[in-house]
Amino acid sequence: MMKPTPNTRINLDKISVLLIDDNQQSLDILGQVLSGFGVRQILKCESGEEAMKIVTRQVFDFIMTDGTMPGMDGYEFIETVRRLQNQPNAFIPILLITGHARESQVHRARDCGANFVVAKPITPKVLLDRIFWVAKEDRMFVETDTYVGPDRRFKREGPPVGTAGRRKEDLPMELGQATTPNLSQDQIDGMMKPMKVNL
Amino acid sequence: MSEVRIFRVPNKLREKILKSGGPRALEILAKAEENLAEMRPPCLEIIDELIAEIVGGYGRGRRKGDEDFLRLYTMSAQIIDCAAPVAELEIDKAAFFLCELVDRCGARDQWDWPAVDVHIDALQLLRLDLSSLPPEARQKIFLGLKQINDKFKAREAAEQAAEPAPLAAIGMADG
Repeated sequence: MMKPTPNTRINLDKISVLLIDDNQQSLDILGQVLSGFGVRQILKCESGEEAMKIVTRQVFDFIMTDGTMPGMDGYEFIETVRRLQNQPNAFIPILLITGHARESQVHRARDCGANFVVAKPITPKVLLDRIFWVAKEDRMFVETDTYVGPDRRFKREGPPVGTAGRRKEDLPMELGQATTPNLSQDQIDGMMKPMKVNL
Repeated sequence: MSEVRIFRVPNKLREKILKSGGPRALEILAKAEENLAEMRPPCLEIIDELIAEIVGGYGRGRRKGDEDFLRLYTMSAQIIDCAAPVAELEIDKAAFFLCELVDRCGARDQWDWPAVDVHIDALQLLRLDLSSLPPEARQKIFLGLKQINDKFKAREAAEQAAEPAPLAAIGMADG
């Protein structure tokens, strides 16, 4: 699935979206943009607690939640949804929206189980792009004691150094280890830079 | 540690979006922009109210010495919340830098009022119509805010580097 071009045909009228934000104006803005995209089923919530009640009753295609809210915030909401048992909403795409992420929230944003983090202000173009990102999402889902959500590794660079890795395709630690010293910067430059030759 | 499960979940959103017969991206973007334009007057009104409240509580000559970090942080974040319909003003950038500044001041429990004043001035200037504030002037404002932000970051990094390492980290925890 490619990045949308101006002529890409997109059918959003059958998707159902849950929006959560304690700021009414922010909810209205997101609602207006989605409505312009042709989304007909938009449910708006002003708190994480209210949204939790709804997700246990109704199945959505997609959730967007603000991160910072009084009471149950967006991070906690996502963590809780991801741990719901026998509930289709536990696996659906969730976008976390932030205006400004405080220092203490950056790690929470990474570890709560959101598919993507999107910064406000959200313009129509940005939101459509992100919906496409979510639609082409093909990361595996991971369930551990401490994390439930899409695999946090976007790139296929293998497991962290010194760990065995948990993906089926991760190579054993014995493979791929360096057998010679690292190249010096001069050696690397020598391979990369075209050299002038005087004949 | 209990078992780790790694599995694939079907992407229903993809199936629905790519069903044939939808409008073109160009058309839905135009419609969304049109809808967003309707939100412009109420959002500007809210932004003006927030700026007035910020100036009234935290501006020069208005401070009483009991200013709350969280209140200013929240008001700045609310400006970002309302900024999408007036994205061309880029007022969200100044509000973002103000959030950064207040977050840092809060962590130290100490205000840097000259820096706060610069941010409040920036909010008021960026609120002006585009025609009243040339692009070069806008760029200068952002550059100034970034420089303040960079200065704070550098100071934090220097302080962290100067902190003595915990005993455990240098292998002296057991004496």
